[in-house]
Amino acid sequence: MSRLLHSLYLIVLFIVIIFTILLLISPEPVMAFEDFVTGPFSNIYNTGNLFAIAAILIICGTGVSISFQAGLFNLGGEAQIYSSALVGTLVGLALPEGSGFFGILVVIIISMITGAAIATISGFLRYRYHIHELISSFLLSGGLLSLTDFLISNTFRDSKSFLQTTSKLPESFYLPSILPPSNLTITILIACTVACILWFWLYKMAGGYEMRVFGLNKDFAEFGNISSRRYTILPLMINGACFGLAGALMILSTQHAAIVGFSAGYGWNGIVIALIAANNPIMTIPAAFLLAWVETGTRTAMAGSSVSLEMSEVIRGMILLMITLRFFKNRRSRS
Amino acid sequence: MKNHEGIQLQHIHKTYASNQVHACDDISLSLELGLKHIIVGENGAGKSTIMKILSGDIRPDSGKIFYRGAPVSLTHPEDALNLGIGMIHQVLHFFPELTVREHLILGMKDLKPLKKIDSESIDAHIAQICKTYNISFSPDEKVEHLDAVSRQLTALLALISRNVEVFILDEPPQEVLMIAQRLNEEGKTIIVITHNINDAISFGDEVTVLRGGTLQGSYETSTITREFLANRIMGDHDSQMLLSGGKKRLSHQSDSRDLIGNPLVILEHVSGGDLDSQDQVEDISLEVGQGETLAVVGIRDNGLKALESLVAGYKQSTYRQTSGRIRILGKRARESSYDEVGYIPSERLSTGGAVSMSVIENLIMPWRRDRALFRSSRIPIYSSKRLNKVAKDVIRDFSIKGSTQDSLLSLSGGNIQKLITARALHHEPQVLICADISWGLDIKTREALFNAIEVLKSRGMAVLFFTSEVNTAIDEADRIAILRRGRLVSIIKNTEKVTAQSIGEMML
Repeated sequence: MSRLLHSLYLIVLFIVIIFTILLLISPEPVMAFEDFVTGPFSNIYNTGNLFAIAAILIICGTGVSISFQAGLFNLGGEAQIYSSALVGTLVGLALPEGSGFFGILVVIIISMITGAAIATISGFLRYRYHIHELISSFLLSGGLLSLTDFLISNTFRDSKSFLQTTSKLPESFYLPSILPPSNLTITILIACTVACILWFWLYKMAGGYEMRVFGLNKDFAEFGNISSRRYTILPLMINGACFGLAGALMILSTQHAAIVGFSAGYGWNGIVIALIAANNPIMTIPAAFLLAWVETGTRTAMAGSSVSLEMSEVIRGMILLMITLRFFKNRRSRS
Repeated sequence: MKNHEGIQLQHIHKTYASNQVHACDDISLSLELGLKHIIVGENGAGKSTIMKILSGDIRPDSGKIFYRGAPVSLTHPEDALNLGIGMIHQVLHFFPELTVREHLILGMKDLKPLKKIDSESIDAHIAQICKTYNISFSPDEKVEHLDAVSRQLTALLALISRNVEVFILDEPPQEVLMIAQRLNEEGKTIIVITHNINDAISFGDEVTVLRGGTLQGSYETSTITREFLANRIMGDHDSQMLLSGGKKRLSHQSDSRDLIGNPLVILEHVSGGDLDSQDQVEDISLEVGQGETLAVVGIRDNGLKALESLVAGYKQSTYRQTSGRIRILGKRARESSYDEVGYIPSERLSTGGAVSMSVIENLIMPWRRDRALFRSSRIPIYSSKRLNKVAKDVIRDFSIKGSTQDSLLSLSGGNIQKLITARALHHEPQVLICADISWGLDIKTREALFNAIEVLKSRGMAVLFFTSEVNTAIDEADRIAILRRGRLVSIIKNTEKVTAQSIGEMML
C-alpha cells in the first residue's frame, strides 16, 4: 500500500517538475505540458511508438538486472546492441530473400550470440586475469562502436542510400505489426516473455538462486561450492545476449537496416531501467514504460514545436535524475 | 525517580516491525553514573535493543530518556555521542580498507572539507591513549587485517578519543573489559551486556536482569548470589542448567575410551595456511573417530583458522595446503557432500549466510539442487510448498524465533547461529566440522545446540571442533588437541584432571 502511495507521489512530483520547467522555457506552457503528458497517448501512432520503445528497454533492463544481481557491471551495452545488430543484419542480407520466419530466427540467434560473445570477453578477463569487467566492457565497447560505425559507413554501406546505412532487409524479415502505422511489432510480447522467463530463473530455479548468492556474498557462495567461474561469465553472457536480442529486434521491427548510431543510448538506458526496477526483471516492465513515456513525451512536445530539441532533452534529463534520486533514496532507507 | 543525575529510561516500548517481536515491553531503568552496570539476560531478552535505544541506534516506539536530569531525544548515534554516550556493538561495522587512524579521524568533530588533517598530532593522541590503557597496535594497520578483539579495541579507542563518559559494551571480550575497569576507575560509567553471570558478578556494581523484553529487577552485586541471578535470568525451571557446567555430560561416558572408533577424519603431516600471515600450521597429524569430539584449541590467527579452512577445504585461494594428507570419510577435503560432512564456519555472518536473503534461502543452500525441493523430479523449479515445509521443520526442531520469509539479518545472533547449526545437522552428517559455535550464545541456546550434536554423536558422528575458548573445549570434547604457533603441542584425553589453566599454559 505504501509503495502504491509512493508511486502516486512520484507521479505528482513529475507533473509538478515538468510543468515548472515548461513554465520557464516555453511561450505556451499549458499547451506544451499537454503535449508532454498526454501526447504519447493522443493517437495510435504515438502510443504504439511508446510501446515499441518500452519493449526494447525491458529487454535491455532485464539483461542489466541479471549482471547487477551477480554483482557485475556491464558498461558495454552500447556496443553489444549496435555491433550485434550489424552482424545480425549482415547475416539476414546473406540469407535468401524469402527466408521468412526461419530468417528472422537466424538473425535473432546470431545477434544474441554476438552480443553474448562480446560480453563474455569481459567475463573471461574478470575471471582469468582479475581485470574489472566495468573497465574492460566499457573500453571494448568504445572500440567496437567506432569499428561498427566504420563498417556501416564504408565496407557495408548501401551506395544507393543517402543515409549512412547498410542495404535494407527484404520484407519477409519484418516482424508482424501491431497498431500500424506505429513502429510497434510483436517485440513487446517477446520482451515481456523474456522478462518473465528470467524472473522465473532468478527466483524459482537453482541456477538463479546460485547466481544471486554469488552476487550477494562471495564467501557464502564459496562455502556452498558455487562456481565462481560460472557466475562471473554466465551473467554477462545472458546480459550480452539480451542486448543482442534488443539490437536484432530493433532491426527487424523498425529500422530494417543497420543505420549509423541507430541504437545510441539504449545500453545506458538499460542500466537506468535496472536501477529503477531494483534489478527485478518483472519490475523492468513498469520501469521501461515510465522511461518510454518520458521519451515519447519529449518527442511529442517537440513536435508541437513549442519546445526546442535541446530543452526537451533538458526535461528528459531532469526527470531521469529525479527518478534515480528517488529510487536510490528509497533503497538506502530500506537497507 | 531516585536519582536525577544519572541515566533514566522510562516506559520504553519497542516492537520490531519486521517480525513483530516485542523486544522491549515497558522497560524503566535508572542507571547511576560512575558505576559499572551489567545487563544480563538470555538471547532475545531485549538487552541489546534497550542499549541501542540509549545509544541512538534504534528509536523506541514510546518512552522517555533522561540524561543528567534533562529529557533527551536520541535519533542518531551522533546525538548520543554528543551527550557522551557511546556503544560498542557485538558485530562491528567498519570500512575494511581504512586504517585504524582513518577510523579515528572519521569520528572527529572538527573534520571539515578542505581542512588539512594533522596526522602527527592524531598519532600522538593515539599513542598517548594506547600508553595510558596499555593497548598495543599500529595506527597504520588496515581494519580488515585486524582480528575481532583488535576491532573491538579500535572501536573503544574511537570512543575514548571522543571523550565519551558512558561506555556501553555489548558482549565485550576480556581485553576490552580490562580497559573498561581502568576507565571506570577514572570515573567513567560502564554498561556491559553479557551472558556470563560470573563476569556479571565479579565485574559489576549493579546487575539488571531482562527476560523476554521485560525488566526482572536491578540488584547490587554484593547482595546477590550466582544461584539467585541464574534464577532471575531463566526462571526457576531452567536455572540449574546455567550453574552446572557441561562436564556433567562426560560423567556418563565410559572411561574406557582409549580406543577411538573407526577414524573418519585423518590428517597426516598437514602443513599450510595463509602464506602471507601468521595463520599457518605445520606438520599436523590427528584422527577423529566415530562418535567422538576432538576439540582443537588454539589462538585464532595463529593456525586455528588455517587448520579449519584446510580441513573444510574452504577458501582454497587463500589457505593452501603445502604438504601432508587430509582424508575425510576416505575422500579429500571438500569432496564429500554437505550431507556427509557438515560444516559450521567460524565467520557465521560472512561465510555462513547471505544476510539480505530470507531464512529459507539461507537454509536451502546445501540442498539447492535436491529434487525433493522441486515441483516434480522432471521440472527443476522450486516448489514454495516444499521449501516452506523444510524451513518450518528446521525452525520448529531448533525452536528458532523468526519467520521463514524474513531476511537473515532480522534474526537475533543466537537464532542465526541456531539456523546455521540446524543446516549442518539436518541430514545427519557422519562428520561435523565446526568452529567456535558457542560464541555470544546464552547457556540455554548453547546447551540446545550441543545436545543436538550429542544425539548425532551417539549415532556415530565424528566431531572436529575448532575453538579458542578453552572452557568450551573442556566442557564438550572427548579429547583435546592443543595448537601452539601452528604446531600441535599434544593431544590429551579430557578427564576430570584437565583444567583450563593447564591447557592455557600449553597454548601460550
